[in-house]
Amino acid sequence: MLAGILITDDTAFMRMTLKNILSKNGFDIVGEAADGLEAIDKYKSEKPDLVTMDITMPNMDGITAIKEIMSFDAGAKIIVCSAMGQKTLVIEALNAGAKDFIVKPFQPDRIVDAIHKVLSS
Amino acid sequence: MMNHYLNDVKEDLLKEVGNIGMGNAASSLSFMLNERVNIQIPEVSIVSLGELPDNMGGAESVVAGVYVKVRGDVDLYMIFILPLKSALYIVETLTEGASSTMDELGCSAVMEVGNIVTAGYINAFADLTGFTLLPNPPSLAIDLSEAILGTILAEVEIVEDFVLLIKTVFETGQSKVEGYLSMIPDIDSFEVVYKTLLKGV
Repeated sequence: MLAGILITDDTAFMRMTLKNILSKNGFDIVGEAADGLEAIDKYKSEKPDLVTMDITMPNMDGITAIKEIMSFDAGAKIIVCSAMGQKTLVIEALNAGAKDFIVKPFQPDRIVDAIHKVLSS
Repeated sequence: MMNHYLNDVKEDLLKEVGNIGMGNAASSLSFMLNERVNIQIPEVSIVSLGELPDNMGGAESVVAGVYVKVRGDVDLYMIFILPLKSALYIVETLTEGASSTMDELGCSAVMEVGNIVTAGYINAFADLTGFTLLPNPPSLAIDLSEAILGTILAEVEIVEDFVLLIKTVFETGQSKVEGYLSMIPDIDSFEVVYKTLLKGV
């Protein structure tokens, strides 16, 4: 069975890019969310195997969403995919429960490898 | 009056912040377009509000403007302006032909490029100062550059009739994509930046 991924990013273009990369690499996109609130809702309804999470988003940012999802499911697998590569934010995201942090712009291989690694751990 | 905000030492510091930040932003743009991106040496200046559009590609030209408000240890505003032709080239390249106009997908692609380019600057600036800087989600407008800057400046709530401007011009070799990246710091809160950077000298 294909691993189900929930993509979270506020821009439709980045959701499309991630969807294309991940579909081509054998993942099943079970949902897309445009902000942290939608990500929490879709995490509960779609039960993805892994979530990609942007940080800077309207309504609810990614770090808050990671904390909420982790409090609901301590086993959640979340990878941050954000343009904000500042050390303090990376540490905050990892402390909140993210399993990896990918800084945009990225090569497709970087995200595919990270997802394989996190799913197999 | 203005000397209070800018003297030779401060100007040099801001130029250095500009060099590192703009270099990082240019690397991100180059990575996305898969093309070499050249930048002009960043200029630091005090500009009257009326002169600002002419510093950003001309008041009368239609441009795509991405605007990001950044809060944190200092408040600042990042503006990334692309002439329409450059924005459309970016849309077509990044969507691999799925869009060639400023439709929903096209606007979204330009917004993401603006987001990543401004983040390149902000990340370098944060590393240099040790500050944490949190951008709000970006806004995008397609309009005359004068109109876009007018809207942004209204939101910035500038009380003086001048702004501190750090800008550079990006240019790609083959595709002739141009872009103007500017940082407008909250001029008073920026004293803390000088102090922090001078400690390291």
